[in-house]
Amino acid sequence: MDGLSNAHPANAAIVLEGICKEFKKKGRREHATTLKTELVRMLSRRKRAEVRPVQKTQALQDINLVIPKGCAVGIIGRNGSGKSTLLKVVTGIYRPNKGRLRVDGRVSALLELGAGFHPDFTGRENILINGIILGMTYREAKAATPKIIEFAEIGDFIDEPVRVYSSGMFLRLAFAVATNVNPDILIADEILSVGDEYFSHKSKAKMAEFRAAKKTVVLVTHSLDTVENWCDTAVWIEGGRIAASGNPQEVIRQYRDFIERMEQAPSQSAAP
Amino acid sequence: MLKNLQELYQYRALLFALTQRELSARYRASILGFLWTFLNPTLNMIVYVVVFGVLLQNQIPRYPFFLLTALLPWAMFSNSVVAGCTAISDRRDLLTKVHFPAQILPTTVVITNLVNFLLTLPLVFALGLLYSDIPSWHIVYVPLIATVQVGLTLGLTYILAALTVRYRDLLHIVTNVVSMAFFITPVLWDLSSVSPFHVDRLGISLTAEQTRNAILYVNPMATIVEAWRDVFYWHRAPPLRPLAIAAGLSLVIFWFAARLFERRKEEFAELI
Repeated sequence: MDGLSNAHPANAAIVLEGICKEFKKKGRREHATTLKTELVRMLSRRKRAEVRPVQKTQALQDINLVIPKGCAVGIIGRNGSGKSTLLKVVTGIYRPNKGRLRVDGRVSALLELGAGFHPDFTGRENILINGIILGMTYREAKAATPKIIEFAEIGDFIDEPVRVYSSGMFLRLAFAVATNVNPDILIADEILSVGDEYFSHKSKAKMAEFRAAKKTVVLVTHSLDTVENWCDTAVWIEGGRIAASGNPQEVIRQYRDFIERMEQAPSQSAAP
Repeated sequence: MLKNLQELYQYRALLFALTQRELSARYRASILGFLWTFLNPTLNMIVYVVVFGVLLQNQIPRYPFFLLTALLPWAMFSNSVVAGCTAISDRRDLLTKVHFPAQILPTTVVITNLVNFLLTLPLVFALGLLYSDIPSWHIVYVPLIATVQVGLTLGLTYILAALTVRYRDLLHIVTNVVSMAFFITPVLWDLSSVSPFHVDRLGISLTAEQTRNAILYVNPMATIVEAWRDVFYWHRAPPLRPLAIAAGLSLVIFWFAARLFERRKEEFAELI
């Protein structure tokens, strides 16, 4: 099943058309941009000639992707291939240099669990603030608090400052808040592998709930098993381009082949 | 500019939550807690009273009261501007993980300091009562003066927050400029006591009146601080012309700041 390219745009939750994103490399000029160096550069003609043109890195090149509503998409690829940049473009944190982006529905982005948690505040207070940061209204956050506390299962610690939490407790609470925002589109960067086995099952159950409710899920993960068992489609990104997309088994097979070829010839950069 | 304010209104829940967090984080885990709100300016005032009131023996009656009426609004301004510099560059945790209008961050700084300022106002009344000084009807000017001050502070804070992302030196520059500005603003001294200003070598010769006007028109904070003092200390209506000019200037600064912000906001997530 190739649900990506053939999907009707009217039914799409996310449409990416020719998205390009480039970053300025920290060249010599950028290396230490202070007001002083900038002034010196402006004042002396000689220096200006030495300034090299800013080097650019292409993080994403011509990404075309249609994600239909209710579809679970797994994005795979090596480190530094552009997966996270893609998520940041979709969530609006980065703006693409070229291309068009259309998003239909309320997006909740779990790029990092516990964004905006304050260590000195109690779990309960952080639920409220984090919920609002993730896009809930004050009332929604208040109403969802008991549910979140129940899901996080951290007991009496809920009224202790977050700084005394174990890292597992912290992540559980953060995950509980994030998944209770109740978005139409959930965008997640490597979060299903949070916590112990028990919690991992629980969070998978939560994700299944999302799927059952026909929500759109976009997932970046290195766990190929998750993509294979759990996603409708997979997208493999390599060097800022979509190398393959479609049926998860098929895409994962191609990806594994590519990695194998690369391991055999590490010196050459094997093209997909 | 309107779009900027509109977005602030749209995200008012977040603005409210962050402000609340800043306010309660400020004195959290300190034994005296909320008392510090009053202790900080009081101790600050005592230092100046000892130096300029007792040691230098100035002729201003009720000098502690005179000082406090200007010191509190000045503290609101200077604390906002200095903290505003790093409002964006220090919030990497939020800006690179969640999508929201970045002007929330400098606005939070200003509102936090405004609330803190309003909370310290009873100190002015209390000290006035010690001198059997009862507020007159002139306090009806308070909302007007406060609005002009917030407008000016907000505009400057936007500009500094946006520029510090790229030019980190600004924090140091601003810290120094603000402490210099403290002395050319009539906080410690009385504006009506300035003497004529002559620099023969440059051919500058100003009467006392002209010097006063120069101070007021060059530095809008001088006008605002004087207005606070007019209302609380002198019990007279602040002169409206300089205040109108300060208001106009604040509006221009804010308009420019909103435009600068709009143009630069794309780079925030990438540069911090």
